[in-house]
Amino acid sequence: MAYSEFDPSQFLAIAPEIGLVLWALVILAVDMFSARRIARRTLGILAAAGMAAVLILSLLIAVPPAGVMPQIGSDPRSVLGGMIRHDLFAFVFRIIFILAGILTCLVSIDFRPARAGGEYYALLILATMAMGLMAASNDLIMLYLATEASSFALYLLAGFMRDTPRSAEAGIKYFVFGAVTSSIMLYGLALIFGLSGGQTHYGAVAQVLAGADTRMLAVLAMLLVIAGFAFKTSAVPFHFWTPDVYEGAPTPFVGFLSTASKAAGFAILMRFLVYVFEPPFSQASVVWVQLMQPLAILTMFLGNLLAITQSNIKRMLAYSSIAQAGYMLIGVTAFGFAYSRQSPEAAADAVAAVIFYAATYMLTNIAAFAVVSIVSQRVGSEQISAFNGLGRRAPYTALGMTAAMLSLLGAPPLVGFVGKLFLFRAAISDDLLLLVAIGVVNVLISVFYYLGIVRAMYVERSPDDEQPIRIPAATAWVVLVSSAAILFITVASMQFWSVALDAAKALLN
Amino acid sequence: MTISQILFIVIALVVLGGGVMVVTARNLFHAALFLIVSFFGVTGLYVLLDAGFFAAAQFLVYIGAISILVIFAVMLTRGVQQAQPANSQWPAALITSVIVFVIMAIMLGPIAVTIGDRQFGNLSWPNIVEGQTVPAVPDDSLVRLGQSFVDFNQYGAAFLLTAVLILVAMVGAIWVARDRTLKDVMEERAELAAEEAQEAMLAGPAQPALPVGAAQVAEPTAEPAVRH
Repeated sequence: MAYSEFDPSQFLAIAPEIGLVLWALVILAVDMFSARRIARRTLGILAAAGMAAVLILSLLIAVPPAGVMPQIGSDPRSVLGGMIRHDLFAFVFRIIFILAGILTCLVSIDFRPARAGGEYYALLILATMAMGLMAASNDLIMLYLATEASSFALYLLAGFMRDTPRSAEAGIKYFVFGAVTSSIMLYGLALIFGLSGGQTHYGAVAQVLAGADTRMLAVLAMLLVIAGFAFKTSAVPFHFWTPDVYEGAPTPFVGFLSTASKAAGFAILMRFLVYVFEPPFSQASVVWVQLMQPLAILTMFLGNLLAITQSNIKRMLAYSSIAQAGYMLIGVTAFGFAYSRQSPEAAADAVAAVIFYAATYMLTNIAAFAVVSIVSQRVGSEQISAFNGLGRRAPYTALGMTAAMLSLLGAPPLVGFVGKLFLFRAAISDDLLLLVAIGVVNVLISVFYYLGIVRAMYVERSPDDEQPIRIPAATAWVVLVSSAAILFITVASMQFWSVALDAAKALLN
Repeated sequence: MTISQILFIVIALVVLGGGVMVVTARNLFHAALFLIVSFFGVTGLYVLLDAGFFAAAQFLVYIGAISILVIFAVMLTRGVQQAQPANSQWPAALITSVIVFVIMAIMLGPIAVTIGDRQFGNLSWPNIVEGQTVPAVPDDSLVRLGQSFVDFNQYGAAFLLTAVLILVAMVGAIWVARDRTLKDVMEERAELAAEEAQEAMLAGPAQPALPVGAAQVAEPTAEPAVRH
């Protein structure tokens, strides 16, 4: 058998990933050949700069063409043997991941307990790379490999402070739970592979599944795969690892884990479900469309109610991130219902709402964790009481933290409000009024704990009120840039929304 | 019953029996040996499926390399050799696995079960027609396998990603396993001292005198970094 013709321009579809892998190798090499004392800080800046360069280069050369409707049966976007789909949906998620990576590198520089060196930054870059492939994957094999590659890096980063028992525990816990759910997901993928008669491309699998009388087994396989995705997005009932891992892992990395990894989970969730179990053509699709609603409700309630009872700020933000996953699931629910009644506009709206929310949540939560990482170091405690009097000790940082908390809550002038508005609007257009009502109730519940932080910073007094906290430059910049973005995106929300909408249309075309 | 069916049952018993012994054996070393028995059965399954390459790979990689690695790990970690094979959660685990097994058996098995108006089990798999013999594995299957890995119109991209996956695992393994030498610790302390000095300089000399409580709160900031 001869090699088939291959067009090298297809590599443009994975150009950002190629760049990131090369940069990770550069970081490892620089780390190896330079004196450790000089290396650490420089490496962090080098890693961030390299990721920024990759981002700019891929914005210049690798943006997928928008707006072409492919013919049925042959998908021109599907490249590299159908492994990758070169579309705007994947590209927008890549931007989210790379930005999260850059900000996390900058915050990590001044997080002393982790003593982040070359390995840390290389693993962070490789995790970012694998998430990009997750969002682009169009094939069961690629999906699994990309998910595993990013998970491996995340397990290692969670346990990076290997001499700190809690971090080691976080790493081991994340690894064991992750390995179990990943094998559950692999079992589901294997069943789908068997049911489709040995096909792995999403499109080919969907064709066989829609025509075969294998409904119940297909449902079972789908549920197993969804379990794997739910773990990635920390949706109930696969959320239990979240607080322990967030508490123990290096704080700047938690900002990355809670945003980029969650966004990647939603990217694969939406693409996989709509490509393989396309409603209403696939009989099994009814199950996932109906399942997303209770999943969203449970995730929101559990996250918000348990967050109130926390006294450790990292655990509180962990439960808050579960609740935020619940809000994003509202968008997925609306997406399922809209697609089932074959309304592409409403479906695109819902997907765009999830993308928009994931992007803004990334900025907000990384700002919050940047503040937590520096305050917990300076005060020497990760309790919420460590924030007492921060409004007097570090006024600008406290302002940034307030913006982040209000945005997570969804208070009007900030971008979290716009994001929630888009999500709720998508749900309302599908007559999911009960779901929206529950979402609003949850927002009200979350007022307790988000404003609890703000209250601690401005109302509570600490014995060190007079002593200012010095914030290192890199972290200060991250907090400044992301809280400025929280405000700015609200003003320019329609521009960002139209990008998200284009990305959503690229998924559905 | 054909010969291959009998062989399949025997091999399946070897795989499952080995697996059960792995999780129930009290001696961890014995568990590692039973793992080899189970792997050997899996090799047999590949042979039955005419997948010669996978049988060889299973034999060399799993029996030859991974089992030896497991045995080494068991022998090098003395404390866990006589671990309790079960903990207090075994009844819940047993119930869960029985439920999963029953569901799987019904869904995948040959018996049709009708609940309500839905039929479970005895399903028709696509591409398999009753009474049709399975086509023989082509002679050049190994060549095709190899080519599909390096052909970017097939699985080339996935193959490359596998390489990156292994790179991640290797970087991580080295990080986790590497011992900290005295030199590392000294370097870290020097680094920390330099950072502290720089910080003190940035904070400026005009710092107000600390209240008594503040010294206790402020001190631990440096502590965790030194300890590990």
